[in-house]
Amino acid sequence: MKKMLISVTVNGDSHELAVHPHERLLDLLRDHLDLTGTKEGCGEGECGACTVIMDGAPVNACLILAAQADGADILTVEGLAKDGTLSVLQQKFVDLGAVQCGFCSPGMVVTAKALLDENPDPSESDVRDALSGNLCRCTGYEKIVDAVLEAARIIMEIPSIGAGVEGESHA
Amino acid sequence: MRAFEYQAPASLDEACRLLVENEGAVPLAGGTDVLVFLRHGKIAPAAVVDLNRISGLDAIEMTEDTVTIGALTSMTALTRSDAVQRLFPSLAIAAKSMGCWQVRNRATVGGNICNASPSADTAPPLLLHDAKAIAMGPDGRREIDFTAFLVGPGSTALAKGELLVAIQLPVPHPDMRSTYVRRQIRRSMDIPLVNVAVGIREEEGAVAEARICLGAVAPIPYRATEAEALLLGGPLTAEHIVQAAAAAAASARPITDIRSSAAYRTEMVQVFVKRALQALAEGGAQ
Repeated sequence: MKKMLISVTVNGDSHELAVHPHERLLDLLRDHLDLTGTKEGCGEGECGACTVIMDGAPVNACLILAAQADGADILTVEGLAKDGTLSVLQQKFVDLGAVQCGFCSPGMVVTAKALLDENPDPSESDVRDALSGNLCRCTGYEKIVDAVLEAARIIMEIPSIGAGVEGESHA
Repeated sequence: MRAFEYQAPASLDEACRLLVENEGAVPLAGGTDVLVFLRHGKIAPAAVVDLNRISGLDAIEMTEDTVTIGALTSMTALTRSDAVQRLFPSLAIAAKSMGCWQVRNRATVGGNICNASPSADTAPPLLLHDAKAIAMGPDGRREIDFTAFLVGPGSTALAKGELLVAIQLPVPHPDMRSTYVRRQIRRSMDIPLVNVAVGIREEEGAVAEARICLGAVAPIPYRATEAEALLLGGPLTAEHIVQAAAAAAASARPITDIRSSAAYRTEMVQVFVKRALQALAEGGAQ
């Protein structure tokens, strides 16, 4: 089948890519752009490991054809750190033990970022609700929820960081 | 998956034409069902017709007496719409209950009903609120009463080349209160084994209108009219609620499948119709 030329912005960088009709956004990110932070956990929209933010909303990249991303603005986990410094959210995942095998972590962090962008002061139940599309087999979710709430608290306390904006990591 | 051609028409006319010309072409809305079916080989179309480049299919518009919801309105948009929350609470609740945030951001109300699963979340609320399906095809525009839109599991009344473009609902009576409940095993990312939308309108302490719409317990979602009739004319008492719930359960024709047994589903109809009516009796939803 003939390839199609599409334009997509990923983590602020513009790309023109030739994609097959059957390729998914997930394949575009991992195979065309070597952005392997976004994981394929199930390939059918059940686990959330492939979560990216597309035009401002968290979505499963395995359920979107690459061609459908033509003209879209995508943020992946690789787009969260700035100049090698982890975002507050990422740092809290590390500090609070929210990462074990790490396979769910990119999806978790990206979904959490989308949450905090919309709701900078979520309740625990808001966090659990927002993350209900992200499965974790290791942690039992407790520390993940703690990390998101802690990150939210820090971001709110320090206005210069801004809600959901990548900033200096804090111990 | 088998290779297919991808087409992204800019107009409805072009989309309908492509569906007519390409034998076995499938329309693509949110992709949360289609991409799964493609992956599993459940469908192997020669072409996929992406509807997302057609403008105007995802708007929610209100006139004085009608609300029109574009077929490509996402579940998230449905959940967050003030008009839907206020006028059709059962629909807002139903939309929120399906999938998860990532899925809801892509899944569309049109896709939900055209996929025509007996357990489609938006179907009982649309039945409850007297929805009409607006279709466009090679022969022009067609209005299909929602009661006639779903014809069987996975099957709708759409003709070849026809697309669902919108759902139209009359603005309900201001005293109509409705809600939606579902029995599911997991708290999220699960398909209900029973889903129920109920609506009650009272006039001077007596039930003037009752709607009990059941999903997942018959080939298509339906209204339990005998159960509804038991509620009319009197106050919404605990006794009447129990009777209506029992009648609703008696009307159900569920199957045993991977999700549940028929017997359990029947029992859950009774439990969840009762819960939903109790919630309305206690002054819930709207």
